[in-house]
Amino acid sequence: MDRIILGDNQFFGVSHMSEEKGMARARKFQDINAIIDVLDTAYECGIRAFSFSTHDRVQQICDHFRAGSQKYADLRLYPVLPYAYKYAHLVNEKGIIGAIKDVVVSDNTAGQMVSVMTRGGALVLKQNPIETMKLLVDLEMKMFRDLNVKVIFLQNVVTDLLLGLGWADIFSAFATYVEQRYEARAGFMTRNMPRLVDLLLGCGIQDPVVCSAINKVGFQMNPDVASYEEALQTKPFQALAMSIMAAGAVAPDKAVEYVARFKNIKSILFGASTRAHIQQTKELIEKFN
Amino acid sequence: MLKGGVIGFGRMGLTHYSILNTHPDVKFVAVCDPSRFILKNLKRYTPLKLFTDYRKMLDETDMDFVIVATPTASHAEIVKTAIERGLHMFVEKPFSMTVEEGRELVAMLEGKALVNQVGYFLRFNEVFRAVKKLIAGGLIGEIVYYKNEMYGRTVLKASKSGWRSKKGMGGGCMLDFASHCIDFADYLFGPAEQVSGSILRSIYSPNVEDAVYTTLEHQNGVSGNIMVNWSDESYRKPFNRIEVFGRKGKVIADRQEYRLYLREVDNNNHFEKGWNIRYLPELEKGVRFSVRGSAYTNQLDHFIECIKEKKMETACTFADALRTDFIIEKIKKDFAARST
Repeated sequence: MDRIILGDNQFFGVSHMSEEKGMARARKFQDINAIIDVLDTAYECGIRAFSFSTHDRVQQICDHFRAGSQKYADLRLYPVLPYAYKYAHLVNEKGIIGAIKDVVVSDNTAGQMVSVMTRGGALVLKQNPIETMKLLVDLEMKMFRDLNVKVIFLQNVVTDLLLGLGWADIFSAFATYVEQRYEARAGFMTRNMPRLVDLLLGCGIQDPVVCSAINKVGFQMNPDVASYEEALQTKPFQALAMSIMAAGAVAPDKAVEYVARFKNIKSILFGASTRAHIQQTKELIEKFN
Repeated sequence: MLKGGVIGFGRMGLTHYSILNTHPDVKFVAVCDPSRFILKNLKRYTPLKLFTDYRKMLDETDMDFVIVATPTASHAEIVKTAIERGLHMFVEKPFSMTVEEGRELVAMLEGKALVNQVGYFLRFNEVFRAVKKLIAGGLIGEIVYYKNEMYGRTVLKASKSGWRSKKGMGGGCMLDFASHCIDFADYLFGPAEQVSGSILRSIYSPNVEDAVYTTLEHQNGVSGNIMVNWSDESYRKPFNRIEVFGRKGKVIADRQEYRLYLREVDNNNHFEKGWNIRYLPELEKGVRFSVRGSAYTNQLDHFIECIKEKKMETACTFADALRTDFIIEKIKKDFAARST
């Protein structure tokens, strides 16, 4: 895994600190070229690893990467799926199952209409959630075709819902499927890291990749900082740290210094939209390596 | 160990189940839902008793509490049965379709030691809790008015399918969004009694309203506006904001931060004269298990705590939620009276 990964929240109006700030960012990045400029800046700064949700607009970014396949030859992607808000209105209208069916059946790209219809229409409703999961992974991963994907992450709401349900075999099926079909590692985003790590280890996933907020003030870390530190010190897993500055509550150098203490934090996922900020964060992370 | 059941395993039922399934003092024993897919998978993964008929579930299963997360129109008959069975109840918002049926349910609770709570989860958001505390503490002085808004992109095109687009089942932006704002106003300023200037507008929906605007006057003299629109594409997800103006300052809050303006310094609470900003990361503590935000865990853990402590006064009782149903009815009447 890459030590430094640039995330995409800042491009799509997400701010964990302030919804108004999120809106201001959404305005700034309405033009896809503004996003590509930031990605190119990061590339110039030596960053090769990027994490994207499966937001509709990421399709355009992927098209851009494919069009410049020489320039982006050593690009490494860490997709996060699904982008939940994309489906929220469908779920409101048709319920969870109706929404899944709709998504699957309405997907007719790449000439797969017939096969998807058969797989989707019949299987989603009659078979088990593992088949449904595979189908949705394929649909969501389409936008990344022909690009170098290192880890495919399950988004935190889905991970945590399943964690609460305790349906561990979906996690192991996801891990196996992603490895076989995409030659990528499966990753899991969560707001309940210690509990999740226990479950993943318990269902036989070796050295699982887990992404969560890790910061010394405990922001988005449930149940508490102490449990996170204990898991990091005692459990065999690869941690990817995000929200290390706790949405602004921790100074950058203190934030990096804190995560650098833990040997199994392999990667740091951060968001930035200016050259100065990207450069500064990268240098800080390298300094504490 | 408290034994529980869930009636309605849609998005909220699933979320509540997931959160409480990890609670050390809770064991779920039964689920009721009409979906074969849901029941089939629950059967695959859990030893739960599964039902499509809630009466049968309540008849055949021994339990302490039930979570009701069905479309609003079915709440009354389910809650009635649950009260008769002597179960503690957590019911999704809004509570009832009409004040009449809601009153009947609240009356049935009289003299019974049953914990009852409605899922107005904004009461459990740490920013809004802090705002309530500072208003109650008199920091911004006597309240003059407020502006209470909720926006989202729930409905962006005409749709006739799904219960949210059907009036009779509890659809519409009034019950889904405006109810949150009305309850939140009740939480901050106490019961409202007068309603005026109400407007219900359809934007895309053929059969229900997509926007609600109204003015509330509370018993304590505070008044304010409610502005709600669930067809606003510019919002990425549902967004709440309240602005409260008092004689000594004002506060503007959303789910993630509050901004407090004070005319004088407040040394007791470490607030400066002028603007003070507090963000959710400073206010929120970790919860034992979080799905879709800590407020959901806080409200369910509160419910379980009340059952264990035999405390009937939850942070949002049926009687509290009935006041919101009462205001909803008044808004509809106010609008109807001016429309004819």
